[in-house]
Amino acid sequence: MEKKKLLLAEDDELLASLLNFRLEKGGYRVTLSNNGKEVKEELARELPDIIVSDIMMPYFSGIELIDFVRNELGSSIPIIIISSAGNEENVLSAFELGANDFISKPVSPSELMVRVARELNKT
Amino acid sequence: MGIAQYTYQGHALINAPKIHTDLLWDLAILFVGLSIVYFVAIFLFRNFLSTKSARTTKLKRELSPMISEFIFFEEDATKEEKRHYVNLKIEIRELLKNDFNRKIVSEILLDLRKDVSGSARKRLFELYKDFGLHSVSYKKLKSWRWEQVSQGIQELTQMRVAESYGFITRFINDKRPTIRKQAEIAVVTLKPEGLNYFLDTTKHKISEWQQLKLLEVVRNQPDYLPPSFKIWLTSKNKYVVLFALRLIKYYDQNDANASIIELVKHRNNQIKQEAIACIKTFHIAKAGETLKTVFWKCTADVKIAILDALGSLGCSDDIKFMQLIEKKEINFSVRSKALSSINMISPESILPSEGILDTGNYQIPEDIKPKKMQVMKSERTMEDVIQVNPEVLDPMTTIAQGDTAPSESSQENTEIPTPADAEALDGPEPSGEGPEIWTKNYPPVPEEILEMEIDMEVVPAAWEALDEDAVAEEPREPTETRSMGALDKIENDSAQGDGPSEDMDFDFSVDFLPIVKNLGDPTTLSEIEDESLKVETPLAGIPLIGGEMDTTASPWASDPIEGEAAGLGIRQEDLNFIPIVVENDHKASVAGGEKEIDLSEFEVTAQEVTPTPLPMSAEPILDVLGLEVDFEEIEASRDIPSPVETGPADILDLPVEMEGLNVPPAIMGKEGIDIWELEVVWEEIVGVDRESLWNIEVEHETLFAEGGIGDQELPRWILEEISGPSVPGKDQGGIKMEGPEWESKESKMIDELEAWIKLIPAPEYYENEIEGHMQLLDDIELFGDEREVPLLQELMEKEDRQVAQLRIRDIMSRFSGQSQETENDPEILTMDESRATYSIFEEFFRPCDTESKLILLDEIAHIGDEKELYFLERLLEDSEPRIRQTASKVLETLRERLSLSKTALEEADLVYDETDFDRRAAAGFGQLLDEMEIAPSIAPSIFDIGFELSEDFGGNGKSDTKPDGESLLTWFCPFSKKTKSKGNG
Repeated sequence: MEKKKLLLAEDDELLASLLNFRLEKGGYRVTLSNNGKEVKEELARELPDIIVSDIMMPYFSGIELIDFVRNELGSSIPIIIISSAGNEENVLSAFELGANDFISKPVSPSELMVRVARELNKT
Repeated sequence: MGIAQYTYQGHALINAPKIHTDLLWDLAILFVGLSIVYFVAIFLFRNFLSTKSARTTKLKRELSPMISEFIFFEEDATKEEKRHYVNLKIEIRELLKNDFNRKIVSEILLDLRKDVSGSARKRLFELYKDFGLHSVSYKKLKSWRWEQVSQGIQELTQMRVAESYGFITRFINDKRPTIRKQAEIAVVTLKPEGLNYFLDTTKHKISEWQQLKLLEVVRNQPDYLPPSFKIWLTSKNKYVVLFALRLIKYYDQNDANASIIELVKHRNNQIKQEAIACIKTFHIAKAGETLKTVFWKCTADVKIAILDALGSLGCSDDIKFMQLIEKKEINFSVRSKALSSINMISPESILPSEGILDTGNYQIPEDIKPKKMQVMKSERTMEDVIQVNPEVLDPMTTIAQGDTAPSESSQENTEIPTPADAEALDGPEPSGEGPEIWTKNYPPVPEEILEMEIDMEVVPAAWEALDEDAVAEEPREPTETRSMGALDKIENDSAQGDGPSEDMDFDFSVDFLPIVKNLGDPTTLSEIEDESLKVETPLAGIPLIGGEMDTTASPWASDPIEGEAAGLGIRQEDLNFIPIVVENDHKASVAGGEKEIDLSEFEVTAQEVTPTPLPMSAEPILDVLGLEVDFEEIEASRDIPSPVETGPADILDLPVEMEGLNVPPAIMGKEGIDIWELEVVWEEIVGVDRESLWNIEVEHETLFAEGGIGDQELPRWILEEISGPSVPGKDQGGIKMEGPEWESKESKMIDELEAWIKLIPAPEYYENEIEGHMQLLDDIELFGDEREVPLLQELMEKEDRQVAQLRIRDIMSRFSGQSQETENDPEILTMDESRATYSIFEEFFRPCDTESKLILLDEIAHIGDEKELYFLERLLEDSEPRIRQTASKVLETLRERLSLSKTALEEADLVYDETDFDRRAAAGFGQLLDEMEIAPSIAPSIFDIGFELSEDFGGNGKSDTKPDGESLLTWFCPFSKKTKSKGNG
């Protein structure tokens, strides 16, 4: 069975590495991007099955990413947002723009796995 | 020229002093040099920082996947994953020997702690301890630099190292505030009982922010059971008391009411305020008096807090106090709060006054009067209410005061305001009609009533029809109310003589029921009185829930004297259908008599009960001895036939002094059976008489076979036992042991004894001169080891006696094979030997799960040496069966491998020289590293290992020590240096 492709956009290298490891272990083909530019490039190259993105990222925020995917690319791939606590406004904006789910920091990798699997099952 | 010179000289007076050009050059060079040094220093420092940063980043990138691997390692991983995990563990242990690496790993873990939650975070905490990073934090605690100590505490707290609790508690009263605060947070975080310890021991201020943080820590602790915080209300530290009060409030611990009330008297305003807040939260009504007492000495803030509390838990009694405050208090805020508290107790008692227009002079057309009335209602001033009729705020107050001789003002208050009063309040009434006046002190008439056109011809008839129904109806469902309109009306009526008489006694007890009566009936009030008197007082205790009656809806209330509702033209008689709802609290005021029940005035019929002492002679004394005891007779087993001889027990024949025992006669029972007469069944043991045992005569004949054991060969006691010369009474006609049967038994016994005696080693007696040598050899055997072999050889050469030679040879052979022997006998392990049997795998083994242990065992089978034998033997007793089985297999494999290598070495007749060993050791170690998939060239620090992974090339079961006494470590050192230098190129 072909592995699902997941784009992980997270500027914190340690957390990104950790989540990357967990997701790969969970059976996903993970592409890691540390900033918005890389995300854009990656999206231009290949559209993943699901995107997990931090809201606060250099160059290109998570909100902009959602807008880019939904409006410019016209894609409906599931997007899960990672945000720190107390960032409700951004989260609401993300949902308004078309984010599918939200997970707050500190992230539980197991919870993220479950959410990713659920979103992929929906599609 | 001369002029020029003059000019020049004249100017020279104001010229700058001459400076030597060389000096300037020197200075220029100095500053340039300094600037160069400065810039170079900056450059180097920046370079250093950037290099360090790059190194850190690189290392973090390298280490983070390893950390991830550790965090997400699962029990059900494949064997390959587990092998990889074990290798990683070994690798990271090597890395952690470097301080810089340790710091980076510590940073990674601390960073990740912030970003992850759940099981991953727990695993992070475990890793922190597994890697021994907490020991670095412990070291920081010992630092004299406060920032180091603070950092250490923070790290230990963040990584939840509960073991550090004891170390951190000593910083709770540290003189440095940062450390102290850090320690407070740590203590509360690390253990649930930390908060108790902190509150018990702290001597310093706990800031508001710190309190909030502590509360947050406590709040986020899972399954936290808060202690009873009231025990800290008595603390000498006022901040502890304050914090305890806040915790009490937060955790709703309402079991410390007395202490909280007492704390209202505290000199500290914060504590006072917090205590008041607790009183309000827990609704401690009995604190009212204390609050009033302390009020006048408090600050404005506390006064406001007290008024707020009184407003929420006060009663009508407190309104007077608040009115007093409103009059006497100079602080505007407090006065304002007093009014709002009055309104809290008695809602809408005081209406808004600020910015309210005086509408008294408004000329309003007749046809829009009802609307105008609405306007007027909303435009009354507070002064109207307070000054003119201050106690109308809550007429209940007046009632509750129980004034037997009400003051003039109170009399006024109890009266329903007349149109004249209204005029006095509002000034000249433009219309001169009544309905506007009602709105002064009573709720407004509903608009629909005011605006409807009433057909005065039709309505009375209809109301009369309704009247009958109303009387017949059950009393309405009462609701909370102050139905003063009706009561005032009654009182007013009585005053006017137009209703119930003045001396009407309303001291009825059907307090809990609203009275619904037809006012049109002249006997109504008297009936109320009569009926109430019939009812017994026990019902009085039932609480009243009264229904509110809108007094403005009953037009008679506005002008009862006239009997006609002003402005509506409704006569009082026409409003008879309206019921009067009487609340129990109003009874006294209506009666105008006693308003408060004084318990002391109750007539109590009592009978004094006095103990009348009876004459001592007549008083019955409970005589225990005289008691008659019912009992069931125990049937002695007289009828049971006994095979043994029965008879009266001798014990009963013992002379007993019965007088001294004072046995009561009653104990004899009803039937008068004397226990002394009971017959006791006993058995007489008939056995062999003690003396007769000695009378058994044993006759025997001692027969020794030829060539057997002679008398001199057998111990004397055996011979005596056999011949029995000391048996007493032998000759007194006892049992005789004679005959062939006894003889065969005897001979058999002797044979057995002979066989046993042969097993006892024969004593060796040395000559005096050899005795010293043998003693020396014994000592060498006992305390020596393989290093004594040369000495033994020397002794061997010198010794010509065979016994000694044999002994020396024996000791030498023992020392040669000592390692194997000692492994099998852990009791005789010396310190060096125990060190020799220490296995590095043991350290890895302990924290591992079963799967990892199995992998480790597998590794031991491949790379283990003799040191692992003892460890493996101990694993044979492991609780886990799989580990036992695997350990057994590995032990066999290892033994085989070791014996094979020994044999191979023996066959090759290897000569050990250092170079050769190094070569082979290097090859073996390289092979070992290949097996473990560790690349030493990548991480040179791996050579800083704290343990030895070695193949045994010793062979012959000999120790790892070279004959010249050098240990394995001395062999290993040059080897590792060489390999390291090779690795570095």
